[in-house]
Amino acid sequence: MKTQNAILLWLKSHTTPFLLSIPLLLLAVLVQAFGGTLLIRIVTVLFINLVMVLGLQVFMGNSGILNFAHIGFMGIGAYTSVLFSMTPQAKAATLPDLYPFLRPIHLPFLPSLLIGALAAALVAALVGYALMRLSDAAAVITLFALLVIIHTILVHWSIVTNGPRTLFGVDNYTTLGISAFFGILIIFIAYLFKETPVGLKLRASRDDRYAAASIGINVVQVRWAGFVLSAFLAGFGGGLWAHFITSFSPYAFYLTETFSILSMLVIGGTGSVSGAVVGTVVVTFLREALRAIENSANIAGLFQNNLVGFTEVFLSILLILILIYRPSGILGSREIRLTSEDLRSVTASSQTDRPVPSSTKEGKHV
Amino acid sequence: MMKKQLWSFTIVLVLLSLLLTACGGGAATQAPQPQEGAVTAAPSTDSDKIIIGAAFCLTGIQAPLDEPALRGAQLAVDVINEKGGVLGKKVELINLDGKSDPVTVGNVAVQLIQQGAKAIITPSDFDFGSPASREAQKAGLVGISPAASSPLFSSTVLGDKQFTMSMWNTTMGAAAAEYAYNVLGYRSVYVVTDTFIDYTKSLSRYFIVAFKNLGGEVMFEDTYTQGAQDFSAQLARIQALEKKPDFLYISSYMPDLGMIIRTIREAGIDLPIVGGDSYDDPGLFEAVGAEYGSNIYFTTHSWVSPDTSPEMKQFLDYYKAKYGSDPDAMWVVTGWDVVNILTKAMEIAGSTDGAAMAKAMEDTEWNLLTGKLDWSDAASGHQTNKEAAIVILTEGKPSFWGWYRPAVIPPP
Repeated sequence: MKTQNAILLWLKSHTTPFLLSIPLLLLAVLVQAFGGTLLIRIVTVLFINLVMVLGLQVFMGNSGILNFAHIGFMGIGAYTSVLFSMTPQAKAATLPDLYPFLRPIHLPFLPSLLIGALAAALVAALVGYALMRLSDAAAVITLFALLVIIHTILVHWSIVTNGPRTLFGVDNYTTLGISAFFGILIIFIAYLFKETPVGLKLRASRDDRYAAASIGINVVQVRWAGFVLSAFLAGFGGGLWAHFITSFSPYAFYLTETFSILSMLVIGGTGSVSGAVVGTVVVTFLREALRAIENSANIAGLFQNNLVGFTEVFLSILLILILIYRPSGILGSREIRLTSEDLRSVTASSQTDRPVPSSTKEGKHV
Repeated sequence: MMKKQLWSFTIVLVLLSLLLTACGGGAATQAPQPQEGAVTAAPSTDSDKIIIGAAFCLTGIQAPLDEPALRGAQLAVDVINEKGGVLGKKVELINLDGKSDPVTVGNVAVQLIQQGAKAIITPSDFDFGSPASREAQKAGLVGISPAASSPLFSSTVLGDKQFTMSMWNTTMGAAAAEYAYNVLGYRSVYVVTDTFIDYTKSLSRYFIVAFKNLGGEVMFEDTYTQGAQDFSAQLARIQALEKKPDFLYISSYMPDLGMIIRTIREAGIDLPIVGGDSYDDPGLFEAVGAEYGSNIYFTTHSWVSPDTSPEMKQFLDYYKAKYGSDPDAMWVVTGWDVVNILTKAMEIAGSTDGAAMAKAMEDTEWNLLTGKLDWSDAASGHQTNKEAAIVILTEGKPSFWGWYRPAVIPPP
């Protein structure tokens, strides 16, 4: 009875992941049931991007260090998972010079994904410890340099990546169900990490690293833990993406993707898991909505010349506006959650006729 | 507090309305649109027009190739409709911007298929084009790229209804090798390969294989990296050669290609320089100028000039009538050719069925503005056995030597 109460109490103060995942789950189920091929593709990519954005939030949001290396780890995860999931015949066609010990390996999808994620985490663990000693601009530039290094290695390690050429013959395993399952699972992981002692210490070090160090927090260590988890998630997202698109080159894991994922997080709000989710959903649907407007206008011939680049320009303007009025993103560092008053009023709302308060409340500062 | 709630409310409202437009837009584009000037009041417009879908990228890195190709494709559709259409129906070209993003290109292809497209034109590159081809293949439609020259763009990789109209790099390299050996009589070559992208690397590889097969001597395989902006080491090696090669094969591209050629010529080396279609760039002609722009040969896709052929002259007349100027890029011609192939394949097949069209495309010997073309069957990859246009640069001015079809094409 006591433990049950404790769990209930804990759940009451941690409603965020549930509030975030229920609408997403609904979206996935509805799209799977009623959506066409196109909508299924868009929502599948939405969940893959969600994995990437949440992974970025785990480190960037909690440590306050802008992480440019994230997409590099996505690339590591993508290439590694593919090496394990492809059939030996496909590998022989696309990677003729592959190391002999890798050639016969053929694992199912999920173990391959996991290996890809672990490979990314391993690289992050090896290089991260030294990098995590740096802060502020130095850290940002070093992480950017790390992205360049990973990219250069991917481009030139032809034996396993096919060099700058496209790697093809990957099986299409990433369905909407799979990407939605992991997207939602990782909402919980990202949220729980934030609430763990390590996550709390990391956030303390973000707000004031000297104060944090003075009360005995090993700043380098907690940053390192966040960095490795973040790379793990990036590697996982990379694997999902690779098995969705089925052919790709190292250029897919470079600046364009970096800015796309980064903008989703910044727009939603770096400091919270809710921000990551909202940012991903908002940017994805804005982009698709604008693209639909652009395409319908072009097909209907509303303008003499085609409306080229409308999506990009309009999206950018919207993003600028959002950031002018909300410099720390739509949600900032607030989480979407129910306060105890909300919970009480929900149970009591049948008797009273006062409106149910908004579910968005200022999060407690820890 | 009130203000904050108002804010959230506004944002939600804006998002909702955009979402609704998205869905509404999607639904509207799926609805059949009344044909302009349709005489009959038939409820279904599906039967009186044939839709060709295109996923050309009008924004992003792919746009310089795809945007001119779209102009050519649209022109071809206009001309075909003026002449009465295909199978008694009008042709409609719908292009949705692929945005130089593989995921969007795939999405666009799905959208086009939902809108009833009977064939899909994909962007001119394997990375950006293949997602559209895969969707076309899934839907049983012909997919064709106007100018993707990667040997990966084949039926073996993408499926039995997928084509590229461009010669592969295999042909482009082999044509240069055979032209140099047989026509110019050269026997030895010094090769410089730009290792920055796959295109230049594979082009050199196929050139070397073909030149060695002929019995030519490859004296040295040197490398360069795009962006290095310094060719002095390679130049020193060329100057140190005891026996001079008959010519240089330089597989690189602009902007550095201009610098490379200038460096070589400034050092007083006037050996012939041979290269691939990346030389087909007015920017290069300007960069080398009259002083250094001589004795340069390259293999490319087409030669856009009224004196090439009567068909080319007619195309240029049509183009000028519609757009008011001469084509600014050779890629215009590839768009024109691709639409003509698709519509003729429909007529030969007598239907818009994907399998029948693919068969017609395989069985026909095509005479195009971009040279004669013959596809191998699906089992051997739809390899493009195509003529390369040989262009000679003299004092910075390009001139057309003629078409050259290599006798032996190296395997990809």
